[in-house]
Amino acid sequence: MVQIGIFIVLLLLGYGFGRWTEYRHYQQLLIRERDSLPLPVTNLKTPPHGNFHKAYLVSGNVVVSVDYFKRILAALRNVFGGRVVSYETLLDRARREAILRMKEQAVQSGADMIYNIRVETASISKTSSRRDSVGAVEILAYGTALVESK
Amino acid sequence: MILTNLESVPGREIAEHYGLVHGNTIRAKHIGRDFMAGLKNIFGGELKGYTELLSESRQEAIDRMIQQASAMGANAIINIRFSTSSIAQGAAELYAYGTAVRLV
Amino acid sequence: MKFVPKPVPEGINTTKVSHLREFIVLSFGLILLLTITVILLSLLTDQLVRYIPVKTEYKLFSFTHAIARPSQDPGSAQSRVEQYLSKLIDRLQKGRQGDKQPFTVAVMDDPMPNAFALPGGHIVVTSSLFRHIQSENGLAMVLGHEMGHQYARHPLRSMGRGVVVLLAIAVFTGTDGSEMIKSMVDSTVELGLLKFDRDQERAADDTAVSLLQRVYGHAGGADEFFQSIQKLEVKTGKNPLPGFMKTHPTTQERINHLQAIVDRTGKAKLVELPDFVKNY
Repeated sequence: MVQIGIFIVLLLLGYGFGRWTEYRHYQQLLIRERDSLPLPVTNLKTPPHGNFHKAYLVSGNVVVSVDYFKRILAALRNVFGGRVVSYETLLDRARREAILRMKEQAVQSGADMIYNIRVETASISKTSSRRDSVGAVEILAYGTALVESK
Repeated sequence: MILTNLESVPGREIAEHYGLVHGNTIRAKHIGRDFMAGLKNIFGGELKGYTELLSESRQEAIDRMIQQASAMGANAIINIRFSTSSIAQGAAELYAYGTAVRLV
Repeated sequence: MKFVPKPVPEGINTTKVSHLREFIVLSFGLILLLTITVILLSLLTDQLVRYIPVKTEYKLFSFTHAIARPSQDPGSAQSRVEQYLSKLIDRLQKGRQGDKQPFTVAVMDDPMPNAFALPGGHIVVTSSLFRHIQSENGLAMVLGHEMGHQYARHPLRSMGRGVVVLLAIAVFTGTDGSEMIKSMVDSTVELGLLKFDRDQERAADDTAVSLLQRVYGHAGGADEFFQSIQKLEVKTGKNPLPGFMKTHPTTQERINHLQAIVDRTGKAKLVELPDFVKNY
């Protein structure tokens, strides 16, 4: 009985805090995305014609962890199959955050555009055994920032 | 919507580009597929169930990416890249990203 | 080509669905799925296990688990009681139609009065049982009841069901990574699967009564044990043996049934228990 009680408490904690964190994060994301919108980003490899006097690597990465509620939901989904809805928001946020960080790094260092963006995803678990499902997800976004010579 | 993983569309000109668009899905397998996979572990061979699952998911990810691009007013996505990662025990994430452009 | 900044539309890569609702729906679904599987599997194994021949059962279960091990010391008090019980079982079996089964009986020390039948013809009786029996007839009823279970293959069927259900759980939960799901599953499935259901208990009762009648000529003493438990309950005002009640639900119906039989066959003289059993 106690076990079920603990389980439910953890679940509620995960659900409550998870939702709140997500909500806050999304608000922040919207603001920051709006601010960094003017910066051209693309995953094309060939830079446009022009004079660039600086080209350097910029990257942004973030590690997001899964809350308890999401994990249980994913485990339940594993029985029936289908889209794991709980992880979608998580990964969406993580990806946008990583790309934003890359953009912000570029803007800070005075870049005019970012070319050849690539995104890498890695799942980081507590142990490498089968038992433990995801502990965290790491997203890395990197690209080449170009500074035009005026 | 024209999809390509070239950097341009041969024979067409790009008027403007709108930046990165991406689509992702996370799909989990179900017990039935798992069971079949377990058997295949003994006998070997293609895991048709999983292949199906992953290609469906990939298609969905591409569809989402197209949705984003259309909403921005693009009519082509160039330089498409895919990335697959295992996110949780039994769930795989399919991610597709590219640059949304408007062709003349 | 010109860059035109356009905001990326929201909500395409996420699905707007209430997580809570999804959780409830999926949990329900899982519990439902498990219950159905368990029920189907138990029914199936119940039918199939019948086809295992008795000889095979005895061979499979010829090991005696620690609790079912008779005393190894032939001179001890325990051994004496066990030999007495063994002889009683033989008397009950004699003249019975059908195969004679080589029962092994052991006495176990336990504060709870109980008797149970394990697969392979092992019958275990706890020492405190003797304090609730007044006559040999009552004891014969208890032994006959357990023998009745074995004749009808109830222990093997229960065990078969239990094993298959545990296997199903392992298959279901072995693949996903959550141990919480596993404990959710465990509490859904009733793991006291070595219980016999009411029909099986009734059948064992009837077998025991017929054995008594053949050996003693009447069914007197059949309800001795239950009467004794009931008296305790009345005296102390509460259930004295909650553990016992869990494994042997003695419904009033069952007691009435036995009493009716006893009244019908008449209470002739009951055979006394030997002292070394009474005082064990």
